[in-house]
Amino acid sequence: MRGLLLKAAATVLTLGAAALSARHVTVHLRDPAAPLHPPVVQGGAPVPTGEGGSLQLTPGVRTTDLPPATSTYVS
Amino acid sequence: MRVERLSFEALGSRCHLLGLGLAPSRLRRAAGRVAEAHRRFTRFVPDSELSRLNAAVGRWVTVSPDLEELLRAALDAHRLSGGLVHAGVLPCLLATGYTRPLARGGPTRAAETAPAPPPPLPELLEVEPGRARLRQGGIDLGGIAKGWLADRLAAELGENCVVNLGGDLFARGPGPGDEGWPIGVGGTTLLLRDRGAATSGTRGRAWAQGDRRFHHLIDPRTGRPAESDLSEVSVVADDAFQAEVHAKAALLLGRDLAPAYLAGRACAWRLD
Repeated sequence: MRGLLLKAAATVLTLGAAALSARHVTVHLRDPAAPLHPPVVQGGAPVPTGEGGSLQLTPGVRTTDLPPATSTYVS
Repeated sequence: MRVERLSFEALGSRCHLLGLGLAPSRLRRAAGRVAEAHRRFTRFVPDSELSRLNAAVGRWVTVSPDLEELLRAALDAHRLSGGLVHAGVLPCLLATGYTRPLARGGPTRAAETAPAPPPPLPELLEVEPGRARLRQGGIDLGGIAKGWLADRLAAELGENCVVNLGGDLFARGPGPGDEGWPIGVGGTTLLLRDRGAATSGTRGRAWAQGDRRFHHLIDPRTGRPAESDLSEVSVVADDAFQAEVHAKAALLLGRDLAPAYLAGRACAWRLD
């Protein structure tokens, strides 16, 4: 009797684990359209500047309303 | 603390030194270093250290540690730019008539035909500890010296300063407002901290002879003044040397190729 109970419990555990595993992989389907890498952070589109041309910034550079202490220029 | 400033003419252009809490005497000493560098590295003075190297084609010449470093920087600039920033274009520059400072008599008569484009710089110039040899042609350091010197002077001047040599600058430290130095780039102000900026263009140092137009930016691929659809490029990079190199290379590449070139090399750029 005891052996039969053990066999029954083992069967239930095995079937339960199989059912849970099947449910997990069904819920967590791999998205074939997912990108291979995270998107790179972009600096945005170039913006026009006061003296003509367009300015492209990367994320590490900020603009300010302060007057410039000095400027870069053609020499 | 107050921002001390000193402006002066050197390297054929207007220069500015700014420092937070710096004694004016330190700025004056730094200005003296710029004037000294000009005397040593100009091609326009016959007895400058650079002119002595140019005059000794084919022979090994003893060079100072500073000139050795600058010549190595020229080789670096050539490598970083894929050969577009080339200090060995002096014969091509002379052929345009740019034989003396434009502010002192202007250009002389241009040659009827341009010389052949120079070979890659490592084939022209050899640098070893304490000595250098020019195999042929001549070297002009005008395309890299200002940025190179701005980086070194900023490192010496203080922890919160800007060294701007003819528009090629390095902004060191947090600036007066702790967020970086406000630096003008084409009418927009950027906050720069421990970064360099430089502008290259074909509008300045330009002249005409008859119906021929010239400027000082030689394209080493042709040996002639660059024909680009960009007239001015400003670049912000990790230091002034790189900013200067990449601004020149981008200008030579033109509007279509410049953004892709700059995307992996610069922090910000302006194309005009």
